[in-house]
Amino acid sequence: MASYALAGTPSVPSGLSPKGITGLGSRLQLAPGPLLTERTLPVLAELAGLFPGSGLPRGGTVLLGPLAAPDTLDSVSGISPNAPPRRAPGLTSLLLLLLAGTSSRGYWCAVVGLPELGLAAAVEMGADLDRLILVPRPGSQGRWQSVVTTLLETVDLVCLAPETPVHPADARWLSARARERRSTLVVLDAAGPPGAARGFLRAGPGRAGRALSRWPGPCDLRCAVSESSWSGLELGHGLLSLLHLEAEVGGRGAASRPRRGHLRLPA
Amino acid sequence: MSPSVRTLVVWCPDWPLVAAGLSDRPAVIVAANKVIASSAAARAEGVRLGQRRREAQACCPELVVVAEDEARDARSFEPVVLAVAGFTSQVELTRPGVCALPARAAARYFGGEAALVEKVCVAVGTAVMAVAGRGGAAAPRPACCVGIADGPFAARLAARRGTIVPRGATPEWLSHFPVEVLDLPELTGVLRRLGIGTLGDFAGLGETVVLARFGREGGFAHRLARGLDERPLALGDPPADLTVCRELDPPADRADSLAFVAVGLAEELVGRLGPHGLAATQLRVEAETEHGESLQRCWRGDRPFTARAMVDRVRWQLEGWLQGPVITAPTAGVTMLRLTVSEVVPDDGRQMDFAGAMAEAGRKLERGLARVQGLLGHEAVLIAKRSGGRGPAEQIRLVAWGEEGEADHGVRDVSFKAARPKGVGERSTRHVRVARAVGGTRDAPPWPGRLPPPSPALVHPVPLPVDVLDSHGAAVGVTGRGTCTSVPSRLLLPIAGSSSVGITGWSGPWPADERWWDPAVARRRARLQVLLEDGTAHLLVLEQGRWCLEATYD
Repeated sequence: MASYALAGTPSVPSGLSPKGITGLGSRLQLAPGPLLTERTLPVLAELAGLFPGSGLPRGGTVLLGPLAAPDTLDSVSGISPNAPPRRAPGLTSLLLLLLAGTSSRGYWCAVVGLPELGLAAAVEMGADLDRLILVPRPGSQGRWQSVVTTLLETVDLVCLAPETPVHPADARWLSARARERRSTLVVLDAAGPPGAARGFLRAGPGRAGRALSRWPGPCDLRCAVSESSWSGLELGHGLLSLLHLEAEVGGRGAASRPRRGHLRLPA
Repeated sequence: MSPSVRTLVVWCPDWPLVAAGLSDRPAVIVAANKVIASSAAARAEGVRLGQRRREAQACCPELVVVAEDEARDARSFEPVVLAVAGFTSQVELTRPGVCALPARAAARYFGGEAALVEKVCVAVGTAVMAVAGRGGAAAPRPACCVGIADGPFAARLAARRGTIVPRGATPEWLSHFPVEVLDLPELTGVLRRLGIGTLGDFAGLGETVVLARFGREGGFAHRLARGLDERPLALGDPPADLTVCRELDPPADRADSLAFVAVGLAEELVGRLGPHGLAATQLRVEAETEHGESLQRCWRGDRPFTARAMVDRVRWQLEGWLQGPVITAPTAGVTMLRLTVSEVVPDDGRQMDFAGAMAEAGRKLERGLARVQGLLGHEAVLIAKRSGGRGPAEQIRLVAWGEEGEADHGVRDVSFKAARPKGVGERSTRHVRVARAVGGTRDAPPWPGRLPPPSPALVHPVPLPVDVLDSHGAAVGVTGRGTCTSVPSRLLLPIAGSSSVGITGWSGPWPADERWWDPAVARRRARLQVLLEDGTAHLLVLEQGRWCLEATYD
C-alpha cells in the first residue's frame, strides 16, 4: 500500500477502504507536501473529531458560516444598508485554527480577501507563516475569480472571504475547479451589505436566522460556531484569556449528521 | 593560454558605509550578526571584520550598527559608475564599491596609464564625495583607490595598493602576496599547512598536480596565482542568441515592476543556456525610455548567475537610475528592457533536492503565484513575517512574494546608538531587538510591553473611531499617569442605526510610548481591552484624545 502512495498514483485503488487510506495518511504526515492519495488535509487534533475522515476534504468546498441553509430572499429586507456585515462571532478563530492545522503540516494555504486577518493570532495557534500566501485585495469583479482559480491550481487550501455576494455561476465554477485540482476551498461567509468593515457587531438574536449568505454555490461541509464567549476579563481587572467555542460541522454524505464539539482557546 | 586583459579597477573603500552615509563616524555593517564592513573610525577603536556585533560594540560604545542592504549599496553606487563611464563605455560592475574597465584603449586616449589613473581618481573621488555628502558625512580618505594590472584579480590587488603594475610583470608582482588574498579560506588553510605561504610558491606547483589535488576551485586559484584570467575561455561556441528583450507597453516607471518583467527574461535566458550545459557569469542589462534615454550596465559575478541573481542586478541598477541624481534620471517610463549574457562558463550543475517531486511542487507554486502577481501586480501577493512590536498589527510585517530573502536582512533604518544617557539604556536595548527579530530568527524574542496572548483574530486595517463613555455619558480619557479618568461603561459606535453597547468587562489602559527619541515617528498610545454586553471582545486604542477600535477578539 505504501508503494501506491509514494509512487503518487492519482487514483485510489477501489479495493482499499477509506479508513485504510486515512490511516496511511496519518502515518505519512511527516512527509512535507501533499501526497496525491490523501483524501483529506490535516486539521489540529482538537478539531479532528468534528470532521469526517479527521480532516478537510481534498477537492471539497467548506463553508464557514451559518449551519442552516440561509433564506436568501427573506434576508434582503431585514438588513439596513448601513449596518456592518455580520459574521457569526468566533468564526475567524475557527478559520485560523483550520489554517494552523494545514500550514503547520507543510501544506500551502492562501487567503484571498480578508485584509483584517490577525496573523499574530494565527502564529499563536501554531500556523506556519511561511506557508501562508496572502492576497488581501484580490481585485474587482471579473478579476478575483481568476485569482482564486489560479490559487486553487497552485496551493492545497484556498480561503476565500468574498467582499460581495458571489454569483451562483462563479460559485459553481470555483467548486468544480477545487474538485478537479484536489485542493480545498474554504469560504468564509458573512452576512450584510458588501464593502463595509466586518466583525464589529454580533448579529442580533432576532436576525440571526435571516442572514444573507454570500455563497450561493454547493458545499460539502458547513462549519458553524453556535456559541462563543470570552472569559478572564472583569470590570477593571483581568485579561481576555480563554475563548470558549461551540463548533458544529454538518454537510453532505458522511457529514450529514452534524457533529458538535466544544473548543477552548488557547488549548 | 589567453593573454590577460590590461584592467583598471576602481575600488571605493568602505563602500557600504559611504552608501549608508556613515563613513565619518564609528559605524559597522552587520549581516547575520557578524561585522562585514566598518568605517575607519571604528577600526581605529579596534573593531575588526568578522567580529560579532556585541564584541564590536564592546570595542566602541558609540558604534552605529546598520544592517546589510545590497540594494542600497548598489543604488548609491550608480553615480560613481556614471563617473567611470565617462572614460570608457565598457564598465564592468564586480560588486557595489568595485568596478573594472579595460585599460588599454582608454590609457592610449588619455595619455598613458598614469594620467588615466589620475583622471579616474579625481572623477570618482568627486562622485564619492557627492554620495557621502548627501548623508551629511565626509568621504573616507582616500575616497577611492585605482590600480592597473594584467587581469581583473591582479588589478583588484593593485587597486588596494594604488599601484600600476607594468605590463607583463604581473606574475612576478603577485608572487610576493600571501595566499590569503585568494579569499578561499579552505584552500589557503591547506596550503599553509603544506608550507605554501605565497602566491609565488603556489604558482610554482604544476597545473595538473593542483587540479588533481584541489579540483576545479583549486585550478581557478592556481590560474589566478599565475597571473592569468580567472576562467579559461569557454570551450566550444556559446549558443548564438543570448539576448532577450521585452518591449513594455505601457511604459514602466518603477523598479519593482521592471524587476517583475525581468523575472521572465532571466528565466528565459537560464532556460536557453541550460541545454548547452552553460551558466552565465557576465550579464549586460540595458533599459531604454520613451524619450530615447538609455542605460546599460555590465555585471560580472564571482559565481554563475541564477535567474534570481539576475533579477536582483536588474532591480539594483534600475533603482539607482530611476531614483538617482536628477540630471541623469530618466524623464519617461522605461519602454524596453534587454538582458544579454556576454560570458558563459560550463555549468557544473546543482545538487537536486532529495525528492525531485518536491522541487517540481515548488516550481508549480512559483509559476502559480507569478501568474497571480501578473494579474494583480507584484505587491498583491504577500507573505507575512514576524516582527517586533506591542500592538497586534506591529507584530506582523507583510512582504511581497519573491522578496522575502531581501526583506529578511533588509532592516532598513534600524540603526541605534548604544550610548544613551543613563536610565534610558533599557529602551535602546529594546530597539536593538528590532534588528534581531526581523533579522530572521524564528522565535520572536521577548518584547516588553507587548499585549499578552491570545492576540485578536481580526486586526482592522483602518481603525474604526468609537467613543468610550462612563455611566454619566461623559467621555473617558487616560491621565498622564496611565489611569482612566472614569470607569468606562458604554461603547458608542458611530454607525448609523446602532446605539451604544454596555461594557461588561475592561482592563487597562496600557500606555505605549514608542520611539520618543524621534519626533517624526514617535507615537503615544494607550490600549484598553473591553468585553461588551453582546459577548464580543475588542481592543481599543486611544491616541491624541481619540478612541479607535483597533482589533476584535473574534
